[in-house]
Amino acid sequence: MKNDSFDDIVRKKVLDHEAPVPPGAWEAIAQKKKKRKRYPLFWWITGVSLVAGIASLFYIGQNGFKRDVTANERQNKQQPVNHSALPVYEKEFADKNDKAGSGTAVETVGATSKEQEKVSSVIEANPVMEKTGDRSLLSGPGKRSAVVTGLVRDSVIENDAATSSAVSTQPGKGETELLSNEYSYSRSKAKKNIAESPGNAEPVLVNNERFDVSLNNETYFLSHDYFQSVKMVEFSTVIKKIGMLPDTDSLLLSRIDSAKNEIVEMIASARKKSLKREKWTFDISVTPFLPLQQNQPVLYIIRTSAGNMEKSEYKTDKIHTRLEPSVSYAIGIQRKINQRLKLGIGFQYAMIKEKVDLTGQETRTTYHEIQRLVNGSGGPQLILDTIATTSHGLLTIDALNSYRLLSIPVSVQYNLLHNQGWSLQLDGGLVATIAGNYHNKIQGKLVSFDSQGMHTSRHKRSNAFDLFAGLRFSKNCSSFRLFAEPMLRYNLSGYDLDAMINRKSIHQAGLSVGITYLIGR
Amino acid sequence: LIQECIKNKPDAQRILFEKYAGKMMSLCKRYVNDQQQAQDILQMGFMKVFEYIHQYKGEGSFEGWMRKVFASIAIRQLKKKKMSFAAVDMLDDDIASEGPAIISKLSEEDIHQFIRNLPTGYRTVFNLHVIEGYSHDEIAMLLNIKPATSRTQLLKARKLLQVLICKRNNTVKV
Repeated sequence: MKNDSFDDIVRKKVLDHEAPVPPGAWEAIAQKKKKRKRYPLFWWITGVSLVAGIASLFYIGQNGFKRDVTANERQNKQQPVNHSALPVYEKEFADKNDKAGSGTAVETVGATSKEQEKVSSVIEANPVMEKTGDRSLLSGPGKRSAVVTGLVRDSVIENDAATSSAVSTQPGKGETELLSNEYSYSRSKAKKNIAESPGNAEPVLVNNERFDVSLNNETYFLSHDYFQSVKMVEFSTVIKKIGMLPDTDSLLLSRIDSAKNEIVEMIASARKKSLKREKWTFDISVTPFLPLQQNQPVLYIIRTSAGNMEKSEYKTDKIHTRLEPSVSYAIGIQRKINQRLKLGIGFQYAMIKEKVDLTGQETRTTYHEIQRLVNGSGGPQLILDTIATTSHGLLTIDALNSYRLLSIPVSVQYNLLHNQGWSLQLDGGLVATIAGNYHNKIQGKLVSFDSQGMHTSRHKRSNAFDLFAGLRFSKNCSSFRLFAEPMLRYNLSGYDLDAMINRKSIHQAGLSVGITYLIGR
Repeated sequence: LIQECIKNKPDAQRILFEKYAGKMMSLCKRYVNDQQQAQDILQMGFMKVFEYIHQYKGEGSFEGWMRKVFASIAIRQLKKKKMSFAAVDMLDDDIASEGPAIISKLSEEDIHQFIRNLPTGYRTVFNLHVIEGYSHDEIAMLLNIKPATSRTQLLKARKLLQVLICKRNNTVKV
């Protein structure tokens, strides 16, 4: 037969041939299509969250820094500070305030005796200003109560820029609530005066962020804290009002004392309320991480599979697994135990992809039914028989398997540092994996052999325990905090899931980025 | 139908699948001779077809284009296995050449089965050259072999196929 005609006939027959399509083939394709669609979305969400998180932290950090710089610059432009006119203990406080800069003033509002003293010192430092006055500002209980309320609200704010702006950070808005028309006038007059004559005896409101008092060509420092601008305005209001009182009015001086005590009490009570309100927090976070595996050695794996009229046995020579960078998602709630400690619990879901490369020898047996002619007693006859064809060769299997782990993290957070805008916490605890699943895409039944023998069936132990530790940097915003937390997770018990290629411990090193909501704010 | 598939309409894709799945499954099994692996290639092939269907410009038949997609995936899978192009002992070198009539009598399934029974190297070259119409140079590039090897493999494949067909034919004739 000529080759060309042979080829033509074969081609024609082969091209027309249709093999039965296994049931469920379309469903498998449809499912794969869906999965493929989901992946870009998954990576998009993860990427966008990460970028947004980092950008927010960066932006807030930058802004905070700029504002600090501005405050410092302003401070540098001020006249030299002179504390000589203050009593000794007041000078110490003022000097301390000077050195400590912005952070110290935060503490001026508080419930401790030290803090009370600071509040007192600020208020008491102002009899020197009792030159001009406006009796009406403190003479009525209504007015005084307005000032006190302003202070208390201020003290509650503590890191809360949004709330504070509602009170009085906006120039002329919150302040005007507290000040009479007469005082507003006197403030603008003071501003004018500072340009014309630095030696004005009246309290001078330099801007909304600082408050200095000038007397006899000397400037008396009250506070430098930029972040406490709200407090300063409020304190300055009190001070101005006190300062404007005639020094002969002993009745008013006693009122000042009682107002002072009242302020301190209200601050303490407000702080308690504030703490109570921040008792519960809610976390949501995304953690890109690098999984690090610690394999339990496997000598070899045998895969057996059987299909229609064929079977295959495969024994590995080489096993290589590699875990891919992954992402986990977590939600959790935390309860404040005291100023330093928090306890938390939550849920975490992680999917870890595992690249598996197996190299080994495959023995495949295919069975064919044939008709065979045999010489029977009644003469030659055709009988059905089966031929087995065995082939042997090297087979490499690549698969992308995955772990899906649902865990409950129980954490303890210890507040290491607490700044006005930032805080640093040590985070640690135990993670209990309550449901684990290994999705093995390699077809057939896998049996692994290790130094201890054969593992025909897995324990299907889907739980595991990990220890974790991290350092959480939080940026405080109004009713939430943004955080970034480099973390390490150490797998104690290892994973032994059904259909795993080999048992292993999976440790994780990653960076959590998320938001903490302050419940009740 | 193709336009609808380009728009990623699931119904159209399903119709396309149902129309060509049998032929493509046959192609896959001809290359890999393993039900499970053939099924995997079928899935991958249709995924690729749906993904790149916009690249089909209407030159030549759509089925031909699909065959090329499926064949390239099958070859990629086979290459992972490190194909052997060693010669196989012929059962009977002196088999008489049979006329086209005998082959014509065989069913499509029989021919398909015979091709599947060829050793991997023979089968791959035979499929690529005879069925898909690739030249020896193209096959050489695809499989990283020399064109001469491709030619030899084809000759031997053809010979072995004829031997198998004749054997079958003789058996039945007796």
